[in-house]
Amino acid sequence: MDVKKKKILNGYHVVFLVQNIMVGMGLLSMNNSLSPVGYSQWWFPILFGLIANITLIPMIWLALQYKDDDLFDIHEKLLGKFIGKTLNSFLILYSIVLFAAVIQNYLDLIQVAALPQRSITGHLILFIVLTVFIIKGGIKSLARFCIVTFFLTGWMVYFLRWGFVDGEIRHLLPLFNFTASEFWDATKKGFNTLVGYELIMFYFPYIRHPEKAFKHASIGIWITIFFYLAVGIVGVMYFTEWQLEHLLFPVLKLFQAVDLSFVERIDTFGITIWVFLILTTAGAYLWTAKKGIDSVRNKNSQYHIYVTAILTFIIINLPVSQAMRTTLYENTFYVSYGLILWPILLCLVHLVRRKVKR
Amino acid sequence: MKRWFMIIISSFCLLLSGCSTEQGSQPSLERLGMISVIGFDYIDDDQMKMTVIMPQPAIEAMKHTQVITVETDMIHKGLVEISSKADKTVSLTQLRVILFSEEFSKKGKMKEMVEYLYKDSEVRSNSYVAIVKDSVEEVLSKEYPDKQNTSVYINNLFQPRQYTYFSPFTTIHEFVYDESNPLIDSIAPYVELKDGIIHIEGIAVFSNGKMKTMFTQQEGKTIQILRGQKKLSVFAITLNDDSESKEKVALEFITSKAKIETNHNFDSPKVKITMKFEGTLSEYEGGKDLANKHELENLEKEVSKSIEDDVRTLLEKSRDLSIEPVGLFKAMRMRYKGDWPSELTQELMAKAEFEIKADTRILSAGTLK
Repeated sequence: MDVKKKKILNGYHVVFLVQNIMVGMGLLSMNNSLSPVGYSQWWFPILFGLIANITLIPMIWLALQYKDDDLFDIHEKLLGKFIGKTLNSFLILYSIVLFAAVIQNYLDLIQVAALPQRSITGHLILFIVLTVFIIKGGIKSLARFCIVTFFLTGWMVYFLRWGFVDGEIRHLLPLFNFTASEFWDATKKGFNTLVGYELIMFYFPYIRHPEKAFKHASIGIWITIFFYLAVGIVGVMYFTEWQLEHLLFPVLKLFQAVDLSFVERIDTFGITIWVFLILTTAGAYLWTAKKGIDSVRNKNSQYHIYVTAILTFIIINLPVSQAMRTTLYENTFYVSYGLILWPILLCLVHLVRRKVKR
Repeated sequence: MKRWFMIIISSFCLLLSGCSTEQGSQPSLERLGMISVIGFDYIDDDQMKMTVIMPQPAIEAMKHTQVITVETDMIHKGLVEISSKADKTVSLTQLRVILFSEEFSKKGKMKEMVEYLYKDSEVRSNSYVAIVKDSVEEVLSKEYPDKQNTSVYINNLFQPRQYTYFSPFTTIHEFVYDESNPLIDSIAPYVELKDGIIHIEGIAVFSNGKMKTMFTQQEGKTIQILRGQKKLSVFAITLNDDSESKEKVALEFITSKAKIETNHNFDSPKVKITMKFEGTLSEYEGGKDLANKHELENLEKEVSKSIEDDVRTLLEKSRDLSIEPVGLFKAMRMRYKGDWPSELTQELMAKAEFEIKADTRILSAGTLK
């Protein structure tokens, strides 16, 4: 149990935590999100990787100043109890909504692609129960699950071979065939595929060697970028610009291109194995929400996980229109961008406070 | 104890839910009618005739396939109607081949249907599409007594094989890819019911979603070479057809390589096509002594010349018909800023100059002297 913020995460735990939390539903639709820039999209993951790595610097620097505190504690210390707790409550809400968004987006896809005639309620309950089980073991349990997930899903990159062989390599040029507004549009939509690494601010106090955390987190980010780049290149080669723009989940079509003599419908297989990647992402948000509630209530309790899980179930089953739900989820993803940039402001507050104290 | 009890109860809940016979839940495999081939005939702009083939797994059945035809205006509406005629719930998950009548594709309705099927996540995007000369219904409902069953027969027919490399074997994905690519026009195999069996006659070429013309097998082969097909079937050429020194050559190509280069000049585009073939001479009828090195070299040159002429004729024909089934200007797009309009392809095609060079190497002339 990690309720006392024991140093339990080794370097490799950090690598896989960062890497797996980032990969989720975003990768399935990455080619589509980046479609405003057309064929030039394939190198965008590299750009995103650089942005992620740069924005990681203030996160780690701030966390190193408060080695035993997570972002919730830092908020209270830097901004005072009242503002801190209010802000933390928002963060809890944000984590819960993202937890719901990740699960629902995936289950919606499962319903469309794999189980068209079934309702998702059963799967939803199972999914939430599984996530609760993982999170009950604390952050280390999640980290271990991330390692397993990496080995269970990483090999699927081989399925890109067929798309690569059938694809047209000449699509990779020209490199900069887009306007500034297209670039902005693609970055805005596409960067959410990388969201997830900022959660390091929450599990930082559990890291055994905090001074090496930046290195480990960077390795995690660049492993993800490798996968994204592979999907980006093959997607651009295999599809036309029209297809990139109109296919919601291009990776599924890439899976359909797989031609093996002993098994068919690799897309169904791939999309079901994807559940591991979703579990790690969803798990991370559940864990963050739990830690948030712990911090706001000043009490460590496993019941917070159950409360969050039930709340999520209710959110997913709320009788609101699909359009409203999509707007909520999309905007919550944009909040993540704010959270990524937030430590820069906190660093400034920290510096000002230090100066004032002196 | 309590924990074990909970685990057992939850496992039973999960496992027994599979026995549910609730209406509307997923039907069991035996109750599913897996459509393997679907065909569309044109009735009018609003209506179409949809014919499907489903394999019959029951051994007691007299026929191994079930053929159902309905008239409909939407695929899924048609499927519901088919379900009411069949004893099973029909599903498109095992769909392998989609056939369209020539009339249907000439009216431009095919693009709409293929895009619809491409969007449907139930349908595999590597299902094959093909054009049928007359009625699709006739092709699908005809008995083929010497074949195992119609479903397997049609599936096998559209699997790429060594001797049918002239045919593009277009999948749904490839059709949508070509159709949405402003640099290339789509192609699909063209079949005809002849003497009781299905023949692959050539290839149908499309422009803006409508079938424009049909190319012969020989022209199909040339298109396949230019599109970068590395393996080719037997290449039968008749040299000096109208003179006395008529020669018949059949080559089995081991490798073929085509390289298309352009001068990147949009005002006076020049396209240089270089092709290299390496193959064995499987049949020869003519006056040359193939044991003689020089005569063999001459033959190589004549074959190259003949291929060059074929390519030129095909490109000229395409130019006349305002179609571009090869994708000659793909390299030019690599330096083009902005979105490439399909009109630009036509414009370039109309004023392009072609420089065609073929190089054939006969690796062996057989084991007889």
